Amino acid sequence: MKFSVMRDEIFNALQRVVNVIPQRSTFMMTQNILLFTEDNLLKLVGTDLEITLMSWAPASIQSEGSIAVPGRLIHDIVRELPNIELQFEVDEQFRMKVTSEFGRYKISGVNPVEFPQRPELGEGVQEIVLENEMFRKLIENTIFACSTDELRAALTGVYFNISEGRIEAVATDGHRLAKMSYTDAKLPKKVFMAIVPTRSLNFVLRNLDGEGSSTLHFGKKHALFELEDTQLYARLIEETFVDYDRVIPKETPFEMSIDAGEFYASVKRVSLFSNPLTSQVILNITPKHVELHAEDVDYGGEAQERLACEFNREDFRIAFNSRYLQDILRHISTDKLQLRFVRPDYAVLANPVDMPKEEEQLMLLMPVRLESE
Amino acid sequence: MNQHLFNPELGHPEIQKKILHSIQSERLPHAFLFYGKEGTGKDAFAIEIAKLLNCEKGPLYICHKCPACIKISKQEHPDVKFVFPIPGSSNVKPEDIAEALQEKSQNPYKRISFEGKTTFISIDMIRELKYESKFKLYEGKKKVFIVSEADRMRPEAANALLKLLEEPPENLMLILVSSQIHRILPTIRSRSQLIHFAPLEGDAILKIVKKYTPQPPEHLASLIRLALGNIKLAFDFMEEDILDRRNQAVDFLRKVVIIEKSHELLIQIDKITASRDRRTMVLLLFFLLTWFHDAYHYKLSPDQKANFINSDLASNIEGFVNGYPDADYPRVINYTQTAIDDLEDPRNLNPALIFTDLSIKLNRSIKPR
Repeated sequence: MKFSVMRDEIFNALQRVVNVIPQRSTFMMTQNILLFTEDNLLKLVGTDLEITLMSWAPASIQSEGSIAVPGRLIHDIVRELPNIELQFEVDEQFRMKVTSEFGRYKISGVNPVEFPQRPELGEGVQEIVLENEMFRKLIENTIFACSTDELRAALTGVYFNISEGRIEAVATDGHRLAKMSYTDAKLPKKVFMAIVPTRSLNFVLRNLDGEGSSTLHFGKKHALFELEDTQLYARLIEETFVDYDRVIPKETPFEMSIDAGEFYASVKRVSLFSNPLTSQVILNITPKHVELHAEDVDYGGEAQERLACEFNREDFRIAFNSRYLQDILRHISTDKLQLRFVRPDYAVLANPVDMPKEEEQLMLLMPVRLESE
Repeated sequence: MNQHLFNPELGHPEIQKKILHSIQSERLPHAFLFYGKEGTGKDAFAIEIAKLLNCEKGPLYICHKCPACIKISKQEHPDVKFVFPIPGSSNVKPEDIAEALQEKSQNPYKRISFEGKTTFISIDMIRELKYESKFKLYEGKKKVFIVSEADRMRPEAANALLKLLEEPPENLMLILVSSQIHRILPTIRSRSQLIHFAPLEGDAILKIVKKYTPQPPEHLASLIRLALGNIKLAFDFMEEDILDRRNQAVDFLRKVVIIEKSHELLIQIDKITASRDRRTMVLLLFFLLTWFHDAYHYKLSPDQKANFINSDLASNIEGFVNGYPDADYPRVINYTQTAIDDLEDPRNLNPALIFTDLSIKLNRSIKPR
């Protein structure tokens, strides 16, 4: 294996791949990066067995081949070099020689056969092309609601439900739920479901460009996200997701609409005065106004604000954990927000008003029970 | 007959048949608990089962050639995890663990040791397994998690494992391995299929030892004999000068019987316990035990000296038995065994005290007034 490559080109690829190398692992092979030549490109693969990242750099290849080399070492040496041409040469004992105009560096590598296989997607892969902007929205508007409790493994990822020209992303931790869907006639008709772990999706977000589009492939064990200059394989979660449609109330007699930005700002201010243990904020809603109230009995702090709103009934009183409420408000992208209630002790629905018709966003939040009731 | 076994070299043909049968009838349990004396090839057997379930030519055959088999042999298969007791996390680097794992992959019968550091299976290690269990398979056919020396699990680790046993994922096989089954939580025992491993036959041991040692020592046969059919111990013996260790045991015994010179005994105990390596202390008592076995044997049937474990020391043992005709051997053996158990006790009992206590007890039983 012999090739030459410009420093900036290989460094960009290395930077993307090196992030996935685990800090502490007994599986030493994952400390390596796999380098191989294909289609006139130098391709780089890093994995922690949960996420596999592949990136590439244009290189002039004199002879094909592959090798696994210590990832951090090669990243660090390339980082310290200016943008000059680098010569790479690998011998039969898997030793790699890097030559630059400064000198030469020898790195001992490993037989690439021992490197974990690139994940196979297998048969029956569901393929979807999505605008990056939409893909980002689907992830960002749901991932915050994922659970971190490993005992409920199915909830530690975002559930992608694809059916009849519609892709739906759902996340919940049992206290709140976030759902975002996108309808497009071009999307496939076949039904497919998969749970993608949050860690993988965070890597996707980090590597996702603002413009253009990405291709998503969902296989039985892995999902492949083909991004602009990275391919990311995510190992899927085995469990079955919860039947979330059952917890979404069908009829909501109480409906309130309010300016989303003002409401968010107000909740942020008022919740500074809530009890740090409960983070409780109380809403008193009347047909024209909503009154936010927070109180910290232990330290004597108290806050109250009044905002204009529209409400279809008489007085209604409900309390929330303000951190969860803020999480929801942060992800409302339109000017107006609608909150829908059933009872003060029942799931509350929140959704933006005036969304584009192919997008649908819905969030659910469990209120906090008030002592007086 | 061999066609019914997946690896004749491995021994334990009955267990091999049993497992093949349960695969054929699709009644493979989600968890096994392999138990039986130390050094009966349980770890090696568990690793072979991982191959059996993942081999490209499986599930009734192991080819030893496909990438899956090779990766499992090298402990590099992403779907197969091998967990074993390690020193506390502040005491050990991941590289050391990886190295130990690599040694195990080169010889699955060998003991994993960390230079006398106390080792255990922590809750974090079990949590890692649980985290791993939520994912789909990476490339294999079935995930296999092997917990070696499962009796060394901390109580909180054992309880965490229980959660995995209660709701096992479909694609997971858990194999617990222990030579001290009484130290395993009953709730774990009741949720796994128990399989007992009897000691390996002498021939089988010899074959295995030869396979993993390119240049077996000359006294291999007597070495295996001294290990009492414990293959792990046989490999231990190959690494250090065991005859030296045995001499130390005899020395200790000599000081014990003339307890009148107690300061010499105390110096000897100091020397034994100075290394802080419980493994070597246990080994010393183990040799003491073989000595007493031989002595008792000789006392009961003086004409069968050929069957001695320490056949090379026959005349010394003879002299010992004749010199102390009133020695109560069953009792002496019992005391020594208790001392070994105490040394291995996870509560970290003081070795110097154990040895002092043993010395007094031995002295009184060997030379009753």
